[in-house]
Amino acid sequence: MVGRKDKMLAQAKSGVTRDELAGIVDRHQAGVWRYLRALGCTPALADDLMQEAFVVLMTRDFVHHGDASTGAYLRKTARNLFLAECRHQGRQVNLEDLDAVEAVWKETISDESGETMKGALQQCLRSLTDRPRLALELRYRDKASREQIAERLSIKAGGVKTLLQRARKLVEECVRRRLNLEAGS
Amino acid sequence: MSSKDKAQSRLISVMLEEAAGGAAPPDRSKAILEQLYDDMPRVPLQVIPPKQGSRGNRGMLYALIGGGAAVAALLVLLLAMNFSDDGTSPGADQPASAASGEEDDQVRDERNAPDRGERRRQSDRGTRNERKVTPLVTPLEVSFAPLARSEDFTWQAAERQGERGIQLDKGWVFLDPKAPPLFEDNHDLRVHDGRTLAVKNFDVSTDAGQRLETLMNQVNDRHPLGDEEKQRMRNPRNWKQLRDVGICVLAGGALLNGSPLLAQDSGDTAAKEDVVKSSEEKSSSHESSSSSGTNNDSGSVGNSGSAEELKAAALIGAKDADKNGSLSFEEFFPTAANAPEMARKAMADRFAEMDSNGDGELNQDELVVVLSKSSSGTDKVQGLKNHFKKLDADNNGFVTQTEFMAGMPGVTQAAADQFFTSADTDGDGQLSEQEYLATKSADIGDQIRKQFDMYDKNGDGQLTKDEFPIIGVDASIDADGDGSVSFEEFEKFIKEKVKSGDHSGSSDSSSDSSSSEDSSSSHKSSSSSESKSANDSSSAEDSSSSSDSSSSEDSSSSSDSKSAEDSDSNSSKSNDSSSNSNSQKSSSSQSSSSSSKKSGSGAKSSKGS
Repeated sequence: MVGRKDKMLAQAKSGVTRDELAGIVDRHQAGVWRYLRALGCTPALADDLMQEAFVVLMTRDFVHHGDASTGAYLRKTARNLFLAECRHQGRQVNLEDLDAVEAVWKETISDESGETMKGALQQCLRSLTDRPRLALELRYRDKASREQIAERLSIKAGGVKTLLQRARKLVEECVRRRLNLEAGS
Repeated sequence: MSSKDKAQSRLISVMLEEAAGGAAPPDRSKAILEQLYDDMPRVPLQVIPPKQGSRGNRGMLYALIGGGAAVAALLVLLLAMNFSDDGTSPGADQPASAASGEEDDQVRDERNAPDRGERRRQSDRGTRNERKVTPLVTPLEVSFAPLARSEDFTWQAAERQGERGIQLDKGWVFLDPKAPPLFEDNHDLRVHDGRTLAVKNFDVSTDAGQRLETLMNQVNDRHPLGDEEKQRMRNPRNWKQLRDVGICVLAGGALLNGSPLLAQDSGDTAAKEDVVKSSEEKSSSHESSSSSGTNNDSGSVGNSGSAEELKAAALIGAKDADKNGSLSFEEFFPTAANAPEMARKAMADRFAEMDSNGDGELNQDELVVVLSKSSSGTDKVQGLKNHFKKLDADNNGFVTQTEFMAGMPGVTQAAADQFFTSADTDGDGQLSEQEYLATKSADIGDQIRKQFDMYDKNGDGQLTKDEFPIIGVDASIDADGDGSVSFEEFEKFIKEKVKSGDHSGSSDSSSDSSSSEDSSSSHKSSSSSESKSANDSSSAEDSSSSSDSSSSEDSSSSSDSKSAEDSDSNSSKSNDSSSNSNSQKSSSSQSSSSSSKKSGSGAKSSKGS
């Protein structure tokens, strides 16, 4: 919820015009959303907090020096909002994990938005055989349960679990190779 | 698996979900821009005066323009009257008066147009006091017209660090929140609420007695004083000396050099208790006074500003190096830069905890909440009651969810929903003061219990040295000396720590700031331990444990990958067991993940897009 004064402040303080802000939002919103998801937010919460992060950004003394610094500012704000949200929900968060997400993000995401990684993942998905790819799509796109996937693929429910894990592992290894990332231990 | 590997895996997993057609980032550009730019006022809302130095010239300009406009309007009016006499429609003067009106608007806008620095300062103050009725400092133009003052009262304008205030030359004056700050020697005084008497050439150490009585009669003649105010004036301990200016906070509170000075701080404990009692009585009779729609005059004590508010303002005043009206991490914890990593982490943790809107800065409202948490007993209850009153925008004794959210910027819809669900015990959709206080009190008890349970790893209801290393450092926690700490001992210890960080009453800014840091450091161990328990996970699928890795599907692993890129399926096979054990670890978090999902989707639906 943004008050009238906040809005005035946003304009007065930042010196960022509406068009410039539109550009910033456009370039960073996907990145902030993905970052929040990586921190542990559900899609809906990530959506909320991402919007709030931009509002906070504009109601503070913000000067746009470049996409890298603005991205870092937004991520920091998003992280704080996430922590506040967890507090409200009585949920405990391991701060080391959050720090690790930030470190990994800096190392892995070169374009602020994560589109490069997404592209690499799509390619890796395409490189899978039909069955594991279909299992992943059913799981993520169609939100199918294990039983439904098992029925569709004519395998046991326990097998679905293994299939999904293996498929994910293959994709992870593939994307790590593509992006020259260090393999997880 | 290190936390970094886990994070990398989680990030990939999130992106994979998206790449496979799952949840993808939404386009919220429009909603964000609407939130920030729609219904922007076209004319400045704040009336900011021109600089004193240029007032003369501008005043002449305005007078000329205004005079010209008035003459033009008069001429048009005369012409219109002539036309009317001739039977012409009197509406003929409409365009001219509209033009005159436009000109007036223009003049007003010009007069109100601030220079950039002044607007910035005003804006900053606007943020700091966003929900306050009156800012600490208002333009000199309001002068002292509505204030009581002595006949021989004179003053001159003064400027300090870009801020304009006044210096007394002669006589006495009531200062209220509308008045500019009073500068005297190196001191500055700002009235926060209520009113403060400032008397030039008055030294209470020598002038107490007859001169004080004479002064009081003079003041009373011009502006009747309440009994409490008279009592306060008569007590020399209620006076502060700024060189040759004596000041006495008659009602409410003021900031002297950034430190709070309360009318309650009489130094007389009995009187102080009476004041607290009377303010409690006032708050208990809140409904009746609010229904009559009249507020008590400034003679009432503590009806608008709590001790926490003043302390928060003092903290900001003392620590706000960049003068932006809020405290960054570095400003709040100046020692953090040189602190060991663990301590710095605990500070960061604590800071994040206090920074409820997550903007990386502590504003006055957030500090009020923190300070009211670290207060105890009556002060604490009073602080909560004051906060409740602040939230109760329509003053009907109940806080609706809309009022709650309006009064707590940064709180999400989801969080407000959750708070109301737990706090609104009678389910009428609004919170009474009792419901609000009950929730907050329960919070504190719950928090201590949570902390205890967190340390008590084996769940035996006793903390050993291994579980709670502070036992080895501070023996006072183990009251019965049996080598372990029960919940009662733990609770007592925490409460004492919090209490020792409480500096209610008059205190200087340094003690305030240290108290705040103290209380935060007392939380260090708890916050760092809090961070030890992990239970958040991003992907539901990640958290699905797999105990049956030796399923028949294993044999199909090599065929899952078809390209050369994925040829090393052997390694994936060998890693299977580790991956499974990792996923087992995170399986416990599924429930919390799903619960957050609930509130998140609720938030989404309420916000819309």
